[in-house]
Amino acid sequence: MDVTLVKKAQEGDDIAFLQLFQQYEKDIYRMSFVYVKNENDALDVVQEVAYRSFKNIHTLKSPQYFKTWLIKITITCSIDLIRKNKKVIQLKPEFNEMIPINEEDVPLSITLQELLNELNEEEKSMVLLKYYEGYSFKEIAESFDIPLGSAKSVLYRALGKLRKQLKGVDFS
Amino acid sequence: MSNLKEELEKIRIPDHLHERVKLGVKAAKLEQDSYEKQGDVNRNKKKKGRKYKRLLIPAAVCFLALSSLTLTPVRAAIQEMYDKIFASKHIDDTGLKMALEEGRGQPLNQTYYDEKNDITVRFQNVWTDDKETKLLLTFQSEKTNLEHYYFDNFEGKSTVYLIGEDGQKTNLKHVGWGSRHYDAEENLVAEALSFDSIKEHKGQEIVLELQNLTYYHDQETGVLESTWPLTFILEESAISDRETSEVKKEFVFKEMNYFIKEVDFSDTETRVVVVGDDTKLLTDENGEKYEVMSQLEHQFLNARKFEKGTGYTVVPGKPGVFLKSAGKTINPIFSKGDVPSGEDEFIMVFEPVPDRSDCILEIGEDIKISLTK
Repeated sequence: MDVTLVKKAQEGDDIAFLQLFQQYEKDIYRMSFVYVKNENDALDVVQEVAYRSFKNIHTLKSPQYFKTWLIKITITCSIDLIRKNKKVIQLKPEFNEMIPINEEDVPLSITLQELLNELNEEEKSMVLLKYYEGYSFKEIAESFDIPLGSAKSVLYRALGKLRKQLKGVDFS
Repeated sequence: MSNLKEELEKIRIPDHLHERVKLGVKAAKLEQDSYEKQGDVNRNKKKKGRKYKRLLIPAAVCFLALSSLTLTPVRAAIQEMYDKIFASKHIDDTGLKMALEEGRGQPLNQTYYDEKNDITVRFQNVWTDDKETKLLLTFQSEKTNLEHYYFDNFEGKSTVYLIGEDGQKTNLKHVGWGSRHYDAEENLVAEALSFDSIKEHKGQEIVLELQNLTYYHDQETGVLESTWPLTFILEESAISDRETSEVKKEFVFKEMNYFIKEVDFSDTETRVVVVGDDTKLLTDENGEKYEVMSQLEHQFLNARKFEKGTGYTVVPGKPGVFLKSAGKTINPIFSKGDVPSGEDEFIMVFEPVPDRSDCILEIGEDIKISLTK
C-alpha cells in the first residue's frame, strides 16, 4: 500500500488516486461481476466505486485500510445496483449463530457459475472476502461491522449450499 | 487452497475498464471543483449569507430529489460535466446552448466502446422536431489521437443511419454543419450532430448507427472505419414542435428584390426563408448549375467571424442581418450554414426568439420588416 499516494489523493490529487485505484480495479470489477452477473452493470459499479471513493477519500482515517475500504464500497455499490434493478435479493437472512467454523484454511472447490447462481449477496460477500481477498474472520468482523459468529455462519451456509465436502473443517 | 481465484480469473476484464474508472473520478473531481467554486462564491457573498442559504436549501432538496429519481449521483455529475461541454464557448450553436439551459431533450447517458479503434463514445442527449434531429455525443480515446478526426456527416465520410422497428435502414441526411470541439488535454471530441427528423418514430425503439469518422489534416482526407450503434426508445421528452408561419412580404436590398416566404420557430432556432432575384441557381451553357452568393447572404455573413476554439460567432457592433424580439437582438447561428433548402431559396438561421408574436427582421440599419402577420 502506497501511503503517500493515498495522502496525495486525500488532498484532491486525481492522478495519484487513479494510480492507486488502478492496482485494484480488476479485483473490483470481478467482485462486482459476481454480484451483478453482467459486464455492463459491473462496469457501472466500477465507475460508481471510483466516483464514491474519490469523493470520500478524505474521510479515510487510516491509509493502510484503503483496499478494505474500496471493497466495502464495491459491495455496497453492487447491492445498490441490484436493488435499483429490482432483482430479488435476500438482505437480512436469519443467522444461525450457534454454528461455529474455525479459522483454518477451508478447502473450497467452487465453479464460477455456482458462485454466481447459487449464493445470495451476503453469502457471495463472505465467500469473496474469505477466499478471494484472504481476510480472516476477525478482520471481516472488524472491518465490515459484522458479528464474528454471523460471518462464520453465513460462510458455513454458503458452503453448505454449494454442497461441497468440507474436508478438514473442525465443527467441534 | 481454494480454486476461487482461478475461477474468478475466468471473468474477462473489458478493455475499457480503466476508462470507466476515469469517468467516475472525473465526475467526482468536477463536483469537488464546483463545491470549491461555490465556497468561493459564499465567501465573496458573506454579507448576503442568510439570503443565500435560504435559496440554497430548496435547491439542494430539489437536486437530491431529482438525482434519486432519475440518475445515480455519478451519472448526474457526468451529465452535468457533458452539459458543460456543450454549453461552453467551444460549441458555436447558441440555439443548442439555450435549449440545454432549459433542460430540453431526452437524456441518453449511454456509453459504447469501439474496441477496434479504442474509442469510448458517450451518447448524451437527443431531440427532434419536424425538420431536424440533434444528437449530442462525445468520443475519447487513450490510443488514437482524435485531433483530426471528425464525425462529419455534412461533407465527410461519416453517415448516420436509422434502423426503425420494421428493420428498415434509412440514411439520415445532414441538416447543416453541426458543431465540433476537440479537447486536447482529454483527447476528447464533443460533437452536436444535425440530421433529418426522426419525430415519426416517437414511442418506438430505434437504432441510430453512426458510421465512420472522417480524417482531415494538411489537405488530406481519410476515413476511420467504425460503427457506433445507439439503441433507445424515442421518448416524448425528445420531441419538440416547430411552428411555421407564412410571411409573404417583399423588400428591396441593394437593388435586388426579395420575398420573405415564411418564418419557422423552434426551441433551437428561428429560420427565415427568402427568395430573391439573386438567390436562384445559375445554369451555364453545359447545363451545370451553380449557387451564387446573393447580396442578402453577403450582408448576413458580414457580421460573422471564425476563431479556432470558438468557431463561428458574431462580431459585436458589425452590420449584418439580425432579428429583434421582445426588445432583444437575436443573433444569427452561423454554424447552421448550408441548411438544405428548396431550389432558389436562401435560409437564414437565427437563435430562438423569446416572443414569436413579436419578431422583426433587421437588415443593415435601414430595413426593418415585421415577420408577424
